[in-house]
Amino acid sequence: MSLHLVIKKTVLCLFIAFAFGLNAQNNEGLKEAIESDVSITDSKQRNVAYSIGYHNPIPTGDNFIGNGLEGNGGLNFKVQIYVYKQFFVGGSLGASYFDVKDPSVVGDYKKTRIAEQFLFLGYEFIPTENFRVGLTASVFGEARYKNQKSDNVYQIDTALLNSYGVYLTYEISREFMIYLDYAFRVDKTRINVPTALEDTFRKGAFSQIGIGLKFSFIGKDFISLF
Amino acid sequence: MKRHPHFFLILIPLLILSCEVRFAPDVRVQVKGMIISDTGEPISDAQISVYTRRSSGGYINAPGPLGTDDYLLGRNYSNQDGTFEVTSLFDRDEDFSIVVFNENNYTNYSYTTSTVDYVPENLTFDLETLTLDRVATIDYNFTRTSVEGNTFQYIFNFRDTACLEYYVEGVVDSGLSYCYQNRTLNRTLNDNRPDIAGRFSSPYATVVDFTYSINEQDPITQTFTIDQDNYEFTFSY
Repeated sequence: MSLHLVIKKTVLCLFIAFAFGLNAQNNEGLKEAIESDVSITDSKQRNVAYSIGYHNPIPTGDNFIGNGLEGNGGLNFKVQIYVYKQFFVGGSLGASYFDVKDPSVVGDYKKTRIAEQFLFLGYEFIPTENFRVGLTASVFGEARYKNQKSDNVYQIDTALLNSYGVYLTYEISREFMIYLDYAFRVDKTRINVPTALEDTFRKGAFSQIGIGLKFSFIGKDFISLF
Repeated sequence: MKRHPHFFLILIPLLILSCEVRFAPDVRVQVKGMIISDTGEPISDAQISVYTRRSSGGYINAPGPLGTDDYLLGRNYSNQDGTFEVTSLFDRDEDFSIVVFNENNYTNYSYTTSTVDYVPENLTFDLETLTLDRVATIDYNFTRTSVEGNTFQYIFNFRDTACLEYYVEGVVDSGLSYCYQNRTLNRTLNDNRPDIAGRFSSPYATVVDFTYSINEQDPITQTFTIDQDNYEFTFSY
């Protein structure tokens, strides 16, 4: 089983396990948070959050993405589980879209769609009542580039993905937030190239700025559940 | 009559899949070299294109490289000093070619090979130094000044402007290659069409054989050398 399948399955399992398993814990956690006289951080404790967002990739650097592509939107779905207090692990599935601005850099095609999936670790700060700031770093990640000349004519590249991100969420209600995020992506490709093209194709980098909605469930962290 | 919707459910995705063309995954190749003219001058702005031609065995035949850019894998232009580097996708195909094209000012060149079992060393097609000849155009004009009923038959014999080198695993195969082959252009003029004007191209300095016969008499051959970019050839009979 390839790595990207493992990641995809892990994300889906996390999603399913928590979607079905949470309700019971949820009420208990909520009750506890209301009843007990706890600090802001404790009442703000979440045990899982889901988000769906839009982002725009911005190619950077002297590499095939930076020199050859132009960002054209993207979507992602994330789930994060609070393992201990504000430490969390999570999974992300998404896609980033690009137009080819210089085919002499990448080869003759018009568009690229990167299907991406990764697992991440992170920590969340709660500086004020309604805001949260999170830092994330990917641990395992896979990207699959579909480089399209036309609807039926395409080529595939693959890469190992690294993503480092920061986000700011604003709580509209206790369980519903909006967020802004920034991430820096470095993909280490598996593309076989001549020595002269190594520097261009070994890595590809882009930044992404996104906005989205986040749904979180109030409750104990994962370790406290047991 | 009983319908079979399942048949169509299977057929439609199959038809869609059969049209898909996927080039080699996770690979780029580079084509490099230098283009100079027959006088040793570097040729800039020549277009270098990498094509594959999938002569598909399916119901829907893939179009050839001249018809569409669907089978264009990479393209770039030569620099001021005549050097070029093309970054290209790669495809495993019997008809993989690198075509140098230069707006009719110079002869065309094509490197053709099969990549079914061949990948060049270091994924690089090094064409080294390519010498292209300047191309001239010959405008000919035949008019009948004699009486009606006279016929005129002519044949031009000249060199073509295309050069195709066929490589087998990186080594040129002269049997399958052809460069600047002899071509002929002939026609008979009569009462249906007594006059004609036309044009053909040939490398500069080509010696052209012009053979003609009036009223099917013994043919007469003249030769002339193309020494101008636009050579005008007029003849009346």
